[in-house]
Amino acid sequence: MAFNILVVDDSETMRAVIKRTVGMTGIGVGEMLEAGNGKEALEVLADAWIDVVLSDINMPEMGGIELLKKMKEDDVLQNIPVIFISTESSHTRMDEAKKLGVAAYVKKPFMPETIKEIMIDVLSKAYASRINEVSEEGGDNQVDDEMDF
Amino acid sequence: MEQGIKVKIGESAAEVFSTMYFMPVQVLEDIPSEENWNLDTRYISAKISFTGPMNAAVCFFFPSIMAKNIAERFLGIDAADISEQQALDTMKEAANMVIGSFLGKVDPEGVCKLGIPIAEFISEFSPVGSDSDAELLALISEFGYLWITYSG
Repeated sequence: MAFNILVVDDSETMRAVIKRTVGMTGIGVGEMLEAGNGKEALEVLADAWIDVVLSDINMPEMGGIELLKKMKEDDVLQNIPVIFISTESSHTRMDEAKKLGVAAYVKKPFMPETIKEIMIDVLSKAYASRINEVSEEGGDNQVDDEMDF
Repeated sequence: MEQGIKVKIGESAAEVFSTMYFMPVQVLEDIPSEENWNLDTRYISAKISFTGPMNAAVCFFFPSIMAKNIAERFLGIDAADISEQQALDTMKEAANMVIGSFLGKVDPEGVCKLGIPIAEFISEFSPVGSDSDAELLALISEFGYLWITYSG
């Protein structure tokens, strides 16, 4: 199964590193899109199907917290899991992110293994809930017991 | 420089460099003597500030050989293929991560605000010539000394 991923960071270099790290995780990647801030991310989300967003917090124009708020206000975007990847590690900010419904939080600097573990955990949970929605609606899709990344 | 700040910057740098660049670094208790400086001909300076209950401007001086190796390991591409802009961006990100990590240690509630880093190439650098009001820190690595000035 391939996932479409949106990487949001004002540093082009960091976006490249995150994309490379995700590529090394073994997780099936469909499209890997980028945005330089939250505002650009919303533009991408309006046009493309995204399965997970990896976002920095401190960015010009619109930061990660504001992006998450906007996504949670939208009927379609609210179900897309958001993982923050940031140097920010204050309790205040992490609590704020949790209350808003961030799926996970990775602190920079990060090990590639951390990104892999968190993405598998987040995608498993998000995918399982989507599968359950389809089953409840009486769709033809069957729940797959094995998640093959 | 307050010893606690020096230790915490050193710890943060060590954490970032080993995790992201697989490059061990260690903060030195004392500034090395001039005959041991082995200054490079070109440096990248990366400056970042933070404001709040604590205010400071921190500047990193990466010798070009260290910067190339950091960028190579960080980006996963050969040093020969790294552009000047990529090198500058990588050093900006290094400064951002080190001071971000440092603030996580000294400001766990996140009251201080971290600024946007700025990086540039400089052709002449001397630890003696850097900001005289700033405290100077030296970290040793396999690629020579990383110099850090702290004005706060």
